[in-house]
Amino acid sequence: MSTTPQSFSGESAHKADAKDFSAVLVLGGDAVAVQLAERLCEEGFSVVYVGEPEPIFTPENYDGKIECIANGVLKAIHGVTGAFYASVQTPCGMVQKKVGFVVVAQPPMIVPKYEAYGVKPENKVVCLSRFLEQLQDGQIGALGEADQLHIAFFAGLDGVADTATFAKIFDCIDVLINQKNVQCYVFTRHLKVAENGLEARYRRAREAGTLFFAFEQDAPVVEQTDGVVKIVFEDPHLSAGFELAPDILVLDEWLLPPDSVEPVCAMIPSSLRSRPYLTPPSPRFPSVETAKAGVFALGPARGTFYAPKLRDDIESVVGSLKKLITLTQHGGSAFVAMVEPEKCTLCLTCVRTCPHGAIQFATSASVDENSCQGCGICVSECPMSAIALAERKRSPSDNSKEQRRVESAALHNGKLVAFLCEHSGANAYAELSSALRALVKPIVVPCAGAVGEMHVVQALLDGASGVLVAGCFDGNCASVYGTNRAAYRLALLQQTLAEAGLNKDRLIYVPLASNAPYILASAIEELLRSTDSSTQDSPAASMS
Amino acid sequence: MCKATHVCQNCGACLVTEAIKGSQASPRIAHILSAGLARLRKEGSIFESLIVQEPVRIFPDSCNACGECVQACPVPGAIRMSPVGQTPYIVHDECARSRGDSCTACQDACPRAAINLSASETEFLVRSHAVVVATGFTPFDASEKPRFGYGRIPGVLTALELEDLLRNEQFELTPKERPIPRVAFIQCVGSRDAHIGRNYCSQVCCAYALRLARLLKAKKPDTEITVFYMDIQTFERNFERRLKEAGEELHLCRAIPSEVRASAEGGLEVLYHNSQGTNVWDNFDAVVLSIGMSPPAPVLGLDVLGRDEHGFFQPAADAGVFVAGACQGPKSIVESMRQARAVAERVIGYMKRGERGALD
Repeated sequence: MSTTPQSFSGESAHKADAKDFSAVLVLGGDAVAVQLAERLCEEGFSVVYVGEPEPIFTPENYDGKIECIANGVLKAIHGVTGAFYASVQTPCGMVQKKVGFVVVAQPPMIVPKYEAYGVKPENKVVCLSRFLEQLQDGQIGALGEADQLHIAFFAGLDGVADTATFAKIFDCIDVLINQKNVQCYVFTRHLKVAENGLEARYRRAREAGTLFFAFEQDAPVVEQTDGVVKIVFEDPHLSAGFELAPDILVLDEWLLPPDSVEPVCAMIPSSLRSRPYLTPPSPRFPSVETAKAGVFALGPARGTFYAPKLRDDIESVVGSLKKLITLTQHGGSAFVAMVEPEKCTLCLTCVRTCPHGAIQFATSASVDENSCQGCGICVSECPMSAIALAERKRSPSDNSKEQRRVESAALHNGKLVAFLCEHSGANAYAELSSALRALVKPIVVPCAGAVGEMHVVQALLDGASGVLVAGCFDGNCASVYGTNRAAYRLALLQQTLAEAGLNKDRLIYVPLASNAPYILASAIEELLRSTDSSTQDSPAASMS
Repeated sequence: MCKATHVCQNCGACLVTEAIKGSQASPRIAHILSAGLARLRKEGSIFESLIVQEPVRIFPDSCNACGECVQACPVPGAIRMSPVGQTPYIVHDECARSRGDSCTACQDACPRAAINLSASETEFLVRSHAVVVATGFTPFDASEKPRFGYGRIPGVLTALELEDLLRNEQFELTPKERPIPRVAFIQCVGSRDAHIGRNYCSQVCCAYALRLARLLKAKKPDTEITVFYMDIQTFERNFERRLKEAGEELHLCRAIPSEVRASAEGGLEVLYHNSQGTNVWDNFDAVVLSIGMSPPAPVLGLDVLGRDEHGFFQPAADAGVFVAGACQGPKSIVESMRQARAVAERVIGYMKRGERGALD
């Protein structure tokens, strides 16, 4: 699992510390993070800025509110929102910091594709970032005074490219087309222009004479001999072989999330599914929020490299921090997991399986209320039944959750019982025809992952003719892998039923979406068909 | 519609349904549906909007979504069950009453007297400190590209129409010339096309076409699908893996066809320039046009907003007016949600900073 031992060391020592939501750790490295730090100060937060090189803050405005650990590197971090403990390596040794929030706002790691293209770096072969710098410093224009200067760009010929790469290439071409005697070539697979304004920039470059070649399979080959660089390729349109000896060959780069993501990922068990990024690869995490409360990913850390979008990310971080503070004051999810310390044997199953990294441990496991999303995965995973979901204290008028519990305790009288994830299944159920709804006893659960074997068995014992568990599609679970846990458990249970000589088709697991009631409808019909044959022998009787 | 095959395809459509429901459940959000802005005025720091709401003919509070009205309606499609929420809705242009007919079939059929066809327009005067414009985009009108035969040749449909048909399990193919049904997707219809003034990428079509094509393949595995494209745009993390998976199920062909025509056998023929450099006519049973996003329709009273060269709204110069979502430029669902968060934060920041006058 992803949790490293050091992420829990010293847990008990910090246990008594009070939570503090005023300080934010910003892992930065360029102007974006500086801008974020300044925005956070405006909003009344204090900032611990870790990064290199030393940033330039507007000093007088933020007297004492930004602490800058220049040339620092985050080595380890643990804790929960309100009380994160970070160890930062600096040239003068390790520094420990306690903060309420963590924002990973570092620039991407940029790795030139020399090896991928089988090219050695030399005077005539440079990577894109370096070339743009040279252009902006006016170093390339001098070369152009001779004859014609031929500049070739490689972009995503290995199949990997981002709009950010093309934006950079257009930046270069914008400078070059103003110079005389420069001919640019772009070799690519797919032109990435899916950002506002990029298509127009592409067209401008083309109209200014830049030649674009888009390849399917047979990418160009580069030959390097005695300081001569030669690109050998077959023109995809003319189906004819060509050779080009450019004066400069500019190679694109891989844009990767920053390395500082790694120690932060170590705090979030579900990051197994998101690595090397920090946010889960799911539309449920469209913005800067990660699976763990208080941890935020800006731009590259969440897989977005196109610079203009980062301005939005800065605002989203500010908004998310404030929202989280409001939630800590007024409750968050409907439910919260509670550990009975005397039952806990410290097996740490919950710590490992909590997708939100909400569980810490000292003498027993304990759930951090501000981080818990109430999904209930730990409840069904705990082998000692030491964890239960409790309702958060809410306003007295909100009694809908109370009704749920009464419903779930009722006997089922041969009906089908459906455990419905509140994100998907419950919505889909509400869209069913009333006739179909009447056939089913719905039990809304916070996540399909909360449905344990005992819940299903109890439903059968209580007289259900069949049990259906409806969770979200893989990749759409708000608790990242709750739906996978449910699918896995149901499959095991089906096997157990089959081994006991019972009809395993009385259980069914359905992945669906809130806007796909038809999937639920056909699953109910299927379950009806398969339980029809087994209603002769009373389900309750056959189970007991 | 959900486009998941066996796993989520990251389209985000379910989140829209959920967001609408969440918004409807919020006591702090007032909804004036089927309504438009008639006038926007600013006095000091306060905006005054005149909102005109279409007649509310079906009362959600009385309706129990029994569907009797839909059954009773003599015009198919004039009254429909809503994909979100329980209340059916009347499609004004389809309804016989819009042509002067006095039909009251739905109203008469309703067992709960939830329908009042003679309801009239309502006007609201809304005073606010800020205005957010999020009017979305207009789908490209595929008949603007006559060479693809949309609206002229049966079997040519837009991706939106295909989505609708798939949702209702109504997409049926009868192969005309071969035993295997064949479907072509044509990308960039109304995008990246300077000839018709659409010198921009719509950003969502590659993703939605591949999702729809894979969903179609999952539902009807014997269908042969060709996707004609210019460049496949990056649409999410793990793009390369997704593209590879798609390439295993679909035939990806780098070419934008120049013509679609009806074949003698009743199918469709598509003319394109193949990788060997020759023009070929290929046979298909359906052609799906991946239409792009066009700028939003004009909004009355919103002359404070400038438009960019393509007609999308530009960020407002007027303090207090904010622009969000695809009315500002093409955006996917997930991108719109991401941006909405940031815009909300900007609005809150503006409200806090600004000199707020009293609303009444």
